[in-house]
Amino acid sequence: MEQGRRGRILLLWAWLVLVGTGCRQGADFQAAIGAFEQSTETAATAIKTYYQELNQYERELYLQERLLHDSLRVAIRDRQGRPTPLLFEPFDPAAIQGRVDLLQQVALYGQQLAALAGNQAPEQTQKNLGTLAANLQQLHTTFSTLSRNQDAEAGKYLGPIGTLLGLAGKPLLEQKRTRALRQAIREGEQPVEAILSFLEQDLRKYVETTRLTGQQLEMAEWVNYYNRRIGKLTFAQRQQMLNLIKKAATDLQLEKRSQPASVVTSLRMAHLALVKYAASSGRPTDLGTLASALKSYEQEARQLVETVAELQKINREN
Amino acid sequence: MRTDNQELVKCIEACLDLSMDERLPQERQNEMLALGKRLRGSLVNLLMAEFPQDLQQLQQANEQLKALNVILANKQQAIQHIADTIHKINQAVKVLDGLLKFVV
Repeated sequence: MEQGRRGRILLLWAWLVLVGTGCRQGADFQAAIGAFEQSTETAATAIKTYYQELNQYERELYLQERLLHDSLRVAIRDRQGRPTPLLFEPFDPAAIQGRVDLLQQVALYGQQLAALAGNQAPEQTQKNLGTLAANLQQLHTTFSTLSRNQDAEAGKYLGPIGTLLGLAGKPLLEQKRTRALRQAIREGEQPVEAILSFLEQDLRKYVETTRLTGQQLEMAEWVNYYNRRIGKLTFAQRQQMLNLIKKAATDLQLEKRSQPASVVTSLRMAHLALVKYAASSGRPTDLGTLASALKSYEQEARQLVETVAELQKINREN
Repeated sequence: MRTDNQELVKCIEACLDLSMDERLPQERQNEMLALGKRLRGSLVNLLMAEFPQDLQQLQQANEQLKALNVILANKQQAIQHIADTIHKINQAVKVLDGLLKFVV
């Protein structure tokens, strides 16, 4: 009799430990997804700024050159009849918008995972998944149009977006929440990875090359202007010029220190860790790897936001 | 097919560096600034440009950019033979300008 009671207590204890561990793992997983979502939103906002400024940046460099060289006139076409960046946009605005939308979808994917992991009612989560599916459908159409026109790169996005679209439409809530979440993450692995790889290469190819060389050019222009006129400048003018050179040097250092493509690399790493954890049995070591990837991602995303804010502040002051 | 934009970026950076290098007289610094700017203009024009497969002119342009970077990587030599360095950069600028007519 006594032995039977002890056995039942032991069984109950073992069940409680098992349930408790499961709940803690679930809570840790939810927290990890929350962190992933937050950093992805931060990163997407900062990276969008770089894309949106591409054409404006070229116009500013064009006007700066005119400010510093007496012989250069301002025009919408040069002497060979080629359009100048005053009105002409070297980067197709539709292609830029397509990439901005893509970033938005990656952020939305993070939000949907968080919603699935959180305490929302199943109907609300299902509604969110419906919104994601509708947005992805729109994005798929945008990229189809771009790839038919001049943007050859855009065609590469079509496959991954199509797969994500299929995932978003699935009735994941028929299963239990954590299982559904793990499944969504596992199935989203390839399309999200493909989209992030494209974004990473795209940012290096278009944004970083033009920004880094542009920033170096801006500094070289001021340095050259100062050196050519040094004997003719008053003390106050020299002071003003040197401040502009200092600003250009600071901008260049900031750009070199924090690059948007590196943040996408961290996002990819965090996403891969999330996928690995979702596919694992949820051991503490797996969670540790995930936490560490999320931490470095969060740091990179925060640093990029700070850089963008700092660059905007410097530009406002001048 | 595309231009080797990584090599092109290296050329631009080297030219702009030399435009702020006191080992060169002001006149040469001015020339390096102008060339750095022209190369950057080519970069912006060529970033999204696609060329026909196996275009010989494109392959030659990419090889020329690589060879130019070998010269520019040795700053001391590039400065000592600045007239020759500038001549080679000018040639690269012309080759890149010429590529624009092949864009598909």
